[in-house]
Amino acid sequence: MKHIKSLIELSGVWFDYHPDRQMKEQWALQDINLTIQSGEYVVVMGPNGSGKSTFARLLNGLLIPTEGEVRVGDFSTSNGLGRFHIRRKVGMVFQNPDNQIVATTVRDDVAFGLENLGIPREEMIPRIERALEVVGLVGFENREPAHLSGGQKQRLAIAGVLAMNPEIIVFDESTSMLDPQGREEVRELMKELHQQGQTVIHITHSAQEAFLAERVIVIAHHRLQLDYPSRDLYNQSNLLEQWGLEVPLPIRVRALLKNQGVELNEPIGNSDEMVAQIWRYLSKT
Amino acid sequence: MNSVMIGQYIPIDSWLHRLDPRSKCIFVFCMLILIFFANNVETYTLLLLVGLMGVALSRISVLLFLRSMKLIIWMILFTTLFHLIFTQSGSIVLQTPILTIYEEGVRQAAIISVRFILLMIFASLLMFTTSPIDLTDGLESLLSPLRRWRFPAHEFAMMMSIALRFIPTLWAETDKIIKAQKARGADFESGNVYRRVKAYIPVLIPLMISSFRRAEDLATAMEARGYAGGVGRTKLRVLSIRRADILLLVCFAIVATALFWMRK
Ligand SMILES: Nc1ncnc2c1ncn2[C@@H]1O[C@H](COP(=O)(O)OP(=O)(O)OP(=O)(O)O)[C@@H](O)[C@H]1O
Ligand SMILES: [Mg+2]
Repeated sequence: MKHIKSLIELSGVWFDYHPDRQMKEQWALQDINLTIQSGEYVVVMGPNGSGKSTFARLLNGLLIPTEGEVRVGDFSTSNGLGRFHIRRKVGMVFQNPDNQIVATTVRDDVAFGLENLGIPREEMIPRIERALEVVGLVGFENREPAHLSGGQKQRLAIAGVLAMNPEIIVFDESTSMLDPQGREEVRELMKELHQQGQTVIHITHSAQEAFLAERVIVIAHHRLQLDYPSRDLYNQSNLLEQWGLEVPLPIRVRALLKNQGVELNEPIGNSDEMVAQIWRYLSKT
Repeated sequence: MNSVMIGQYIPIDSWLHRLDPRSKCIFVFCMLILIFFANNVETYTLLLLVGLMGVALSRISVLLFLRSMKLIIWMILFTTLFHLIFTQSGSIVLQTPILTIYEEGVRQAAIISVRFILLMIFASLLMFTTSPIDLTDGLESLLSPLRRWRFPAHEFAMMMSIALRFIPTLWAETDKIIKAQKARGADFESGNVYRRVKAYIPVLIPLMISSFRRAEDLATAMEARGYAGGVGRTKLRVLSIRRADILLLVCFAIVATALFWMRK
């Protein structure tokens, strides 16, 4: 039998910012056990303050578990050398588009991570070009970040991460501060990256985004509460409501109709699809 | 407005623009020192000619240089007046019931004015033709030998470049806060100086709070991208000394020799 090694493995992880001051029941994250395979597209949801950002920061060694261990590939975040390798493997895109761009031009910013890794200049140039190509910012190389739109800034942040050739990209509410168009751009890009085999972990408050992923994890009250393939969640939207999470309208309507004995096909991606399905159902009867 | 704030760089292409920032820094620095060795009409004329040649080579409109002179016009007027009134040696040039002007006073006033103008020309040449990023890179490279005495050259340059990166962002934010406060009836335009300064406090405090937040976010983002100080870092931007840079330094040597030969 072939043993499949998971890409990310959290075992018995407990974490708090002030472990000595808090009772263990109040720690920011409690008893997290989780594995994520290469190529997965995972969404993490949960109420405010439940520990999602803390979880994200544990994944690339920005935070070290107080107890337990986080492993990425063959490395553990608990030792310094491991962290160095993990920073290269796990890229992170944050929430505020303005506060994660370091350099004064687009090209220099994509280079920043590569410079930190000590990549020789000749190798940097093609990697920067490729990353800008993937995010669609070719031609913007000499632009100042202040002259980019919110969506473009986030795409720049993604390019900066992509240039480092990560295996995993973690998005911590990276779409929440964007206008609808910027949000769509970034979502589209996430989907593309996933299709190219990248492992994507997306922390979000938007249930609509959750159903774009393959697997949904809910963290609430500092613990891992749900871990389902998003397909299975269609039939159990009440589970999301139970944790105070908003359920997208099409899914709610579908569940209500089902209670009335009206069975629609799944999955329903957006309200247009729902309307089409209701029409189809009505024309059948 | 933003571009004025960050170093007044004029992004066109010229022989001076293409020079390595380090050789420009060294050249301008040495020229500034040289100004203080000039002591007669010939030497000042020589330096003025060099400055004007620089202006021509930069292909930047003379008007822009004149505008930068506006910054020092008061300083020039003040010191000129000071010397005309208080320097009292040499023969009398002009005698009025309230004021007597001496020859030495006129001479001193002229010297100081020319010195200010020369300083401004050379400083403007550097600022106009060197982008802030190049300037930062150049300074990092020039200061890096000081690392041996624990001078944090890399950190210093990183700090400067982050400041440059955030000036437009903070500027836009200030603008937004001022508008928001105005919408709530804040008044920035009327009243005496004290009242006007006071009106800005509700702008500065949110700005400061958000800056701390930005700093924290940025530090996290930098760490997440593997930043761990200057050790083991490579650079995308490379500086290279070319023929033109050597030519510039040779020019300086010639000017300096001529000046020391011509001075009294
Ligand atoms: N730097 C910090 N120092 C101390 N406590 C912190 C720090 N950051 C977060 N916390 C605490 O840890 C807990 C989890 O916070 P975290 O930021 O992970 O929540 P979150 O799920 O990301 O929330 P949100 O949806 O608002 O982003 C919260 O109780 C928070 O107050
Ligand atoms: Mg968060």
